[in-house]
Amino acid sequence: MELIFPGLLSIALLLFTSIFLLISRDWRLSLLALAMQYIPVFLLVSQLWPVQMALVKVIAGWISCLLLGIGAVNLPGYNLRIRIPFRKRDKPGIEFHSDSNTARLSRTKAPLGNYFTFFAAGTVFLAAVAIAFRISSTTGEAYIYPVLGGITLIGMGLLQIGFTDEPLYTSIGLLTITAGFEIIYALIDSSILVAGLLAGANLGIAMIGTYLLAAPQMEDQI
Amino acid sequence: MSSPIIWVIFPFVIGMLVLVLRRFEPFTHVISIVFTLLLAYLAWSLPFDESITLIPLPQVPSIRIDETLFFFGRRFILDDSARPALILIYLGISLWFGGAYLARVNQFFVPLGLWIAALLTASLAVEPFLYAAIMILGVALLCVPILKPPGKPVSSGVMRFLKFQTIGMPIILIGGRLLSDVEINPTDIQFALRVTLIIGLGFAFITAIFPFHAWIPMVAESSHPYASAFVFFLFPATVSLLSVNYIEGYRTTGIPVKAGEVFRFIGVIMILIGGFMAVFERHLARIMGYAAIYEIGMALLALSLVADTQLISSSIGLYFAQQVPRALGLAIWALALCFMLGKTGDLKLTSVRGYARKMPIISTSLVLSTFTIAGLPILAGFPVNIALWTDLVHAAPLVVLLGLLGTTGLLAAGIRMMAVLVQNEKGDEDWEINESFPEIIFLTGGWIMLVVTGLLPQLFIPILTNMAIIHMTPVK
Repeated sequence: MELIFPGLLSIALLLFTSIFLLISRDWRLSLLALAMQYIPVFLLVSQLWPVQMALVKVIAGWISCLLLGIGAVNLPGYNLRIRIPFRKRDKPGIEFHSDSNTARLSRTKAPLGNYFTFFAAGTVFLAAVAIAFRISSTTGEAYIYPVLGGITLIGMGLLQIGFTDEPLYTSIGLLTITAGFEIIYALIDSSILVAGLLAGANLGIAMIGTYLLAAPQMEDQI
Repeated sequence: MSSPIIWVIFPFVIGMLVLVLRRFEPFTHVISIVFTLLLAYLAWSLPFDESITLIPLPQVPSIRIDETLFFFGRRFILDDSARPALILIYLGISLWFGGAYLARVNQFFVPLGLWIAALLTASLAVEPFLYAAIMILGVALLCVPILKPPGKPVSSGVMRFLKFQTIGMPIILIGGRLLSDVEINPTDIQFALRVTLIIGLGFAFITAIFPFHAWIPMVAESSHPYASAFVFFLFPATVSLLSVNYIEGYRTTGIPVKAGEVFRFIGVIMILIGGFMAVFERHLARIMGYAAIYEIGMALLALSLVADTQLISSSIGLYFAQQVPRALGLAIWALALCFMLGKTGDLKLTSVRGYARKMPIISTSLVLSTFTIAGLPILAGFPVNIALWTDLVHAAPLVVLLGLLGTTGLLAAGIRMMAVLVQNEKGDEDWEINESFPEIIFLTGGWIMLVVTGLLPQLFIPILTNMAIIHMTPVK
């Protein structure tokens, strides 16, 4: 019972944040959701690793969010409006903005709109449940939540990067995939070096995301 | 002092210094070339685990270079078996730095190139070697600013490259970790096969193996030709070196995984894709991208021989030997494209019609490098390619036939390129040399290197074969 509660809570939180990341088109809310996503990641990893090592995940994740946020804020002329998803006038397709910086922070919607995104996310989650049950039959039932959480995040991250080519949302998708993988990998290895290297990989992805956001505005070097 | 400090930490520190001073070109280029050549020389000559007297004075203590560096409970080892790889990495990087100034690559190229060399070395040194996957991701992340310099729009090719590399890393890491479970229980063939699939998928993502190769022509088209050729050379070369460790891992388990057949199958698909897509391509940089895909196929075929043989050290020489014509061919190709891009602003075939009459040196370099990659006689690729086809024809004649078909495609692309470049639409255009002096020197120097390595393969193949044997022989 001790394990079930944080496990279920973590899965519910993961589902909420990862689906929100798929449909959100406001970069601040997306980064907030990404930061929130690292809390269940921490809860799930802390079932497998010592708490102080699991904390590395959440700290590295939050720093990554911060890096992406700094990159977005520093773009000149970024849009302050918060666009709430599911408004009636949100039409599928590319959202046009008056300046190129805002366009770089926003993203195209899923090909068939939010309903398609929900359907795809639901399919991914169902597949994750099936895979998690299958894997947990060999690893033991105690690990079902970390496995389910990890596979769900990997699937949602893949959906995310499949839907978009924008630097910010691609970075968010890649960080989601890495977070999911980190939960799975925590099941099979508890090396401090790996924890450090993966934290470095997270920061690296965030830094490159920030660079890609800012690069078109930067001075041409040659 | 330990060897990983010399070949991992020092390049990183110098890279940081060069990053700060990056505006002082060509000073930073010269410093970086000298430094990487020095590291290659030290890899050749510096003794490990022995006292070395730097200055023969009694007041100056001698130093000792340890092979191992302990870091967070894990070991980074660079022993005598790592020398060949170190020489290849630092010599290769210095070669690419050599042309970078003339090619006008962005200022991040040299500092990030040094960091890339440091990370590649770390990936070879880390134990257990499965952690190398994370460092390869680091290399991929560093390649992004090289491919997409400041002031240029983000291209979908670079984004796809970033996505594939990031997805590949976790898959290899998990597969590598599970491989150690296979070693514990080698009787579970089903589990071993699943692990093989996982590792194969990871490598497919990272080395741009079919169907994850699409980013290569996209990057070639949208990025600086020299930067993209650097990435096309670097990734297959180093990642497949890493895959040799996995092949060795399988060999220790005793599981009969038919990696050789898989490598051959995928390799020939890559060769066919590279060859035939090059024929129909109308953009010169994209043709180079398809040539890079063709080269990945050739590397896989060489690795298939490694996977088939019981004694890896006897067959890996060919794989090592492939690196020289590949590096020369791609570097000269990219350099010629850079010069052409600087003059025409466009690399579409329609824009360079008759270009050879005004710029014959650049045009000849393009055609020669295409023929080098395709392995035309007297050029650098020929001795290695002919050796590969000869070794393969006994094991898989159909693969050789299909491989030669793909090669014909690349040759046809070269001939088509030549036909377009020498076209004389008006009928009254004379031949004249309009290239600058440095361009002529660099490119004709490249021709000489292509021909010399093609005519005298004994200059490099035995050395590289010996290096391969040293690399694969564990130090007692």
